[in-house]
Amino acid sequence: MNGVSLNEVGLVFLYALITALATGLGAIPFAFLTTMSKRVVAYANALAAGLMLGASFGLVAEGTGYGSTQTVAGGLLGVLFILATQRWLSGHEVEFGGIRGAGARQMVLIVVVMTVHSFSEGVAVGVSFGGGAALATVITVAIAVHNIPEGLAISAVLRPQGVSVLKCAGWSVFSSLPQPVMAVPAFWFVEQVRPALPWGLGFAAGAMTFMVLVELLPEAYDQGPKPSVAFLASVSIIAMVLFQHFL
Amino acid sequence: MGARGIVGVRAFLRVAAAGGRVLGAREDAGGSEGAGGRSWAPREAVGGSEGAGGRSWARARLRAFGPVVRARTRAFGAVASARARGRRVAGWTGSWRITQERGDVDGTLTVLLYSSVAALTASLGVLPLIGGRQPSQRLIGWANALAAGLMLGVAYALMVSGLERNALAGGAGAVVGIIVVYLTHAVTGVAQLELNRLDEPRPEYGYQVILVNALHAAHEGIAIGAAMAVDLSFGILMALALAVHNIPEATILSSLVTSRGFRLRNAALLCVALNVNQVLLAVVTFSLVAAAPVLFPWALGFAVGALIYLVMVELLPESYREAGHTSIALVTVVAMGIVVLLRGRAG
Repeated sequence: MNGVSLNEVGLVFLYALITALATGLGAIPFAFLTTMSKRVVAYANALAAGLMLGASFGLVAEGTGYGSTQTVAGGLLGVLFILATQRWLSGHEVEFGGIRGAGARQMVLIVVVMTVHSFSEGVAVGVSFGGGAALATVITVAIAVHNIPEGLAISAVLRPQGVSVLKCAGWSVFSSLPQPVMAVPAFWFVEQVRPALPWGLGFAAGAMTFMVLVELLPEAYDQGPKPSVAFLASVSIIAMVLFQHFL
Repeated sequence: MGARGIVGVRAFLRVAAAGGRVLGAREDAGGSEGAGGRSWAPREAVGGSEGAGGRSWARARLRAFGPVVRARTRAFGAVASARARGRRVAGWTGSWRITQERGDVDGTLTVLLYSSVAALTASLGVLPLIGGRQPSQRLIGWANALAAGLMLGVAYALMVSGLERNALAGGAGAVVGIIVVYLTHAVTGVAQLELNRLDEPRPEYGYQVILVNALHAAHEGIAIGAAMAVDLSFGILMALALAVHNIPEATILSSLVTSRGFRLRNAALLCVALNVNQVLLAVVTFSLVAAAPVLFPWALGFAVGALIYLVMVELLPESYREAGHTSIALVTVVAMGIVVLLRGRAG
């Protein structure tokens, strides 16, 4: 790893930072959303649920390439992490963007989940860069584009609660900041980091899937008509999977 | 009986021996590291069912399905002796690998057998109702969540297979699958139907519930057929997941029809009869895909879309009503993990 120059590290950081900023673009569609009816909340939740489930499928597919047992074990840890975070949040008075109560807890939870998931994604980015610097630009563009729906998922939860579009974009970028931070050390220590990758990918997938099942879907069913919610969630899963497959 | 029995035993021993070889081969197949990159398909698994995951699954299968395999061997013995003499029964151990290229009779029979087992499992759904008891809502919720997790898990595995083959056709098939199930619900007027309303007095409600169950079974049959065409072990996993799903479905239906004066025995028969669709479409899908391989990614995609939509529209919302969100989410996510573990990295 001594052959890696400081310049290259700076480049990796820069590229990864660009991918983080791209996440903010996911908030844009919500600028056009003016009414916040119950139905909109339901559909936004269904959309976020589908995108996150699709993303988890992608993470699991990648993680099992390194080791399926570790991926599933990591997933279990991710589930436990969400349970613990939920418990901690329910014991505290939470305020988020001027909102209190259950809504605020859910918003904190999604920002935490997406931020944590960026840690493992950052590691994955670093490891990919380690595989060959020639691919760097391609990978950067791919990940930047792939981050946009993740920003969409976060904004879909925050925006209906009354958070401004700008703040949605801000939190989306925030959730992706661990990517550049983690990508550099992962790039530096590719060989050492690689065994941890299935754990991290599994952790992220488990946390996201559990978050979807315990928070987003129940609320979506609560607020909107069952067939439309299911339709939107299913189509977003497929869309996310195809999106990630082709980019 | 005697000759047939010996043939069956010999075939079973052959399976066991093959299993032993698989066990031995597994050590060098494991520990493969670092297929890097961000692409979907696990590199080594592309283009074949002989990946490491397939082997480890074969081991699990031999342990878990011992009795099933034995029963199947016996069934094949019977079929073979009824067929032309020259045909060696033991050939079936290799036959399911051939079925990927062309749908031979053995493959179709295998599909028939396992989808029938899944359909027959529905009759177990009446067990909690014996003696006039009502099963606890929570238990049904958890059973549904288990089924939801297994179905999402196998949908994920199907999706990976589909993406490896033809992602565009697979994706299009998935969208078609979602739309078809959505439309069958909408057109038959059962889109907003809740399946477990015992207090619902309308006579047509009973028919609607029966209709929904029959429709679902048909869509699930396509999933079994498509999974069987990927490879046998995956097909069995799919049939198993749907068998697990059939049980609480049958319990809900049986408690409804028995509350309207149906006898328990007839309720069990009704539940199995409604799943005949599943067997039929499993066999048809399997044969169709073997005859026209162009349709394969479409069928895979269709199954993915149909499974995901059924879980989203039926199983999950129902289970959230029956038990707490946290326990439902836990059961679902663990079931998904089990499928990922069983399916490993096989394509």
